[in-house]
Amino acid sequence: MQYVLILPEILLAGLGLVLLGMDLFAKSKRSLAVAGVIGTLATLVAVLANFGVAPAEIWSGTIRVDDFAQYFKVIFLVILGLVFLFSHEYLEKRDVRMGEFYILVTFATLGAFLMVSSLELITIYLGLELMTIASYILAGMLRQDARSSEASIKFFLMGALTSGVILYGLSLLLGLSGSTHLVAIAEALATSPNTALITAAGVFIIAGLGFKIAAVPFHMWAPDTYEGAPTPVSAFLITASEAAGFAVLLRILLVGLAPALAQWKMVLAVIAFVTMTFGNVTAIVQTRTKRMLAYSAIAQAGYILVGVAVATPQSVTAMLFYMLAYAFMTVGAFAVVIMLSNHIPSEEIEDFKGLAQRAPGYALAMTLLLLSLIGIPPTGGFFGKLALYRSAVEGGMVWLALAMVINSAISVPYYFNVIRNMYLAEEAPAMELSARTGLKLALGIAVAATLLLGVFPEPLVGFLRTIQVMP
Amino acid sequence: MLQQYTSVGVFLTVGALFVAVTLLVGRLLRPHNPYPEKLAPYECGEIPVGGGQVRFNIRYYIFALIFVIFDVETVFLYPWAVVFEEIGLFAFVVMMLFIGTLVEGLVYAWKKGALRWV
Amino acid sequence: MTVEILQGYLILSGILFAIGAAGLLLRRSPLVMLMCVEIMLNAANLAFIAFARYWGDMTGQIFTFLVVTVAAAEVAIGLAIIVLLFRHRDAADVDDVNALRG
Repeated sequence: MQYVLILPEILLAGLGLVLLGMDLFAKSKRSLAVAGVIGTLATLVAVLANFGVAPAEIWSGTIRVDDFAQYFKVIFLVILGLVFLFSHEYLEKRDVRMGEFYILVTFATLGAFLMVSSLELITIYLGLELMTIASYILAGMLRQDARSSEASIKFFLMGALTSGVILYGLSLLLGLSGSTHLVAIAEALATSPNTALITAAGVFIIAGLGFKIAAVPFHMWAPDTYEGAPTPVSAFLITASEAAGFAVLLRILLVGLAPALAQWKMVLAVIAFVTMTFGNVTAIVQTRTKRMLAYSAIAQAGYILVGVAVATPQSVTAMLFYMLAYAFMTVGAFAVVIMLSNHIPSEEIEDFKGLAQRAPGYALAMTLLLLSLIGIPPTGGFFGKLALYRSAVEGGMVWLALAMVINSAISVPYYFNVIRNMYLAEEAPAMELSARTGLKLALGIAVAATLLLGVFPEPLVGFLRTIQVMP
Repeated sequence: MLQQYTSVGVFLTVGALFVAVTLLVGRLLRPHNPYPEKLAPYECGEIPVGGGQVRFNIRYYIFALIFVIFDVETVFLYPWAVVFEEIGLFAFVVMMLFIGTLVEGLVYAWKKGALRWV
Repeated sequence: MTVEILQGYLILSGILFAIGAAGLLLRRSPLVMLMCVEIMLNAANLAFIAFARYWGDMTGQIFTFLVVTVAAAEVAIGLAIIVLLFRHRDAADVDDVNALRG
């Protein structure tokens, strides 16, 4: 029985090892991408089969299988699948070692899996490290490009600092409770007289996870890393890595640090406010597509953080919904960026000029995804933001809800700048734009899902209401 | 509490004295006859070339890296060996999976030419 | 293990952590920064082992084993990235790494 419960992890680890072997012997690297998609689908089936199973802990509590974990695994697999689908041509053109890319991205996802499927600090820490260490290499995969190496070293140094800080916070939690299980930690903290140490542990852990989700003032590595890394890697980091960070933040704050939660709500609310405002204001002046999307990702992290700060069941539901929608719309937007940069390597926002005439389908898809990022109906982004906004009002943080609305307004100019370039720019360089089937498929899935989440959100929301963060 | 450290202190003192006395006796007894060949660094009988404090080639690092992986593996093998009798076949299978994964990584590095000196 | 001895270990581990963090933020050579990371991780390891002894529970020691492994992997990757950086420019100094600005 316990092997059925961790079948998704086993399958994903197996996929990584199979890809490792295939990379040595397969002549066409394309077969790796195909195997990757098949493996992702198989893992997805295994995850879906575990939905609704009563929450269970196996191997003396080191692995916990519940719907919260399953839901995040679906998000990671969606991202992984789309990355497998749309990366090939980009990697080929930039002369990246494809085998290594596919292997590392699989193992990074496995790390994310372990992060969400445990209430045990050791497993969470190991998952976190597996994901980040794989990501350091991924960020530096454009080996001829000095900017990629720079992205990698900055990411590495900040990531190493972060992992040290988080680890120290975890050691304090162990010291306060004598256990590494979050439920036991919560019980011990509730009666512990060492409030100073509890606060210190909270500071270390929130600062450390703040780095992972690129919240201001812990964001300085993020724009450089997201810009310098290969574009498929940026897409993966901005969505999967961030979602995993939020999952762990939720688990630790709402389960382990639950007795001390009240003192953190205001701090988190301020961080959320500063993060979204900084991200949006800085994104306005950017001229490079990836850097603009990087600051936009910081702003979006601010919106999602609202859900953590409010910390009610409604806000968690809204967060979970928004993260799935966010994964689809961001990865979709990156698919268009990748398609474009396969033809024009510069990756400036100017490159979008006249896209509506050259490739109306892509222009329409990009418009829809950008509207979703702003939060305009009928898209998943709109519904997710609305739910976050409502939960903030009901949770008694009206000012934060107001800040979200104002920030959405601030974000309109830079997203619309791309749309304006696509539709209104006059001189468009004549050029044939084409893409492989995989990229088209990925973009189609992303657009369809974004629309679907906007038009029929009720079934998913109804399901998300049943998800418990707490055991 | 300090009394517990008395034995440590005695041990340290005796150890330091032992080294000092041995070196002193050696210096008093041995003949003293230096010549250039004798003072040269020993390199398996070869005549030494160049200075000793050169920068090592960065390529050495890849061997160090692969060594570290198997070095750290030992950390897990030791406790496994201690409880092996109690757990039995299951422990064996699990450890073979663990080592198999590492071996696949080594084979990968090998086939990709990471162990070749270029 | 009494609380007094535990406090001694925690003070030592706190000092080590501060040295590592300060070195990581102030020094400019990636190799020295890598060593500072190691100091930080080992400060946490010391705290883990002290707590494990204090509570009479093995979990902290198991954690330390795994952290040692992770640290080895982290250093290996860090060195690889520094070598990559060396190939693009001769000096390895993080102040020279500034192509990405904005």
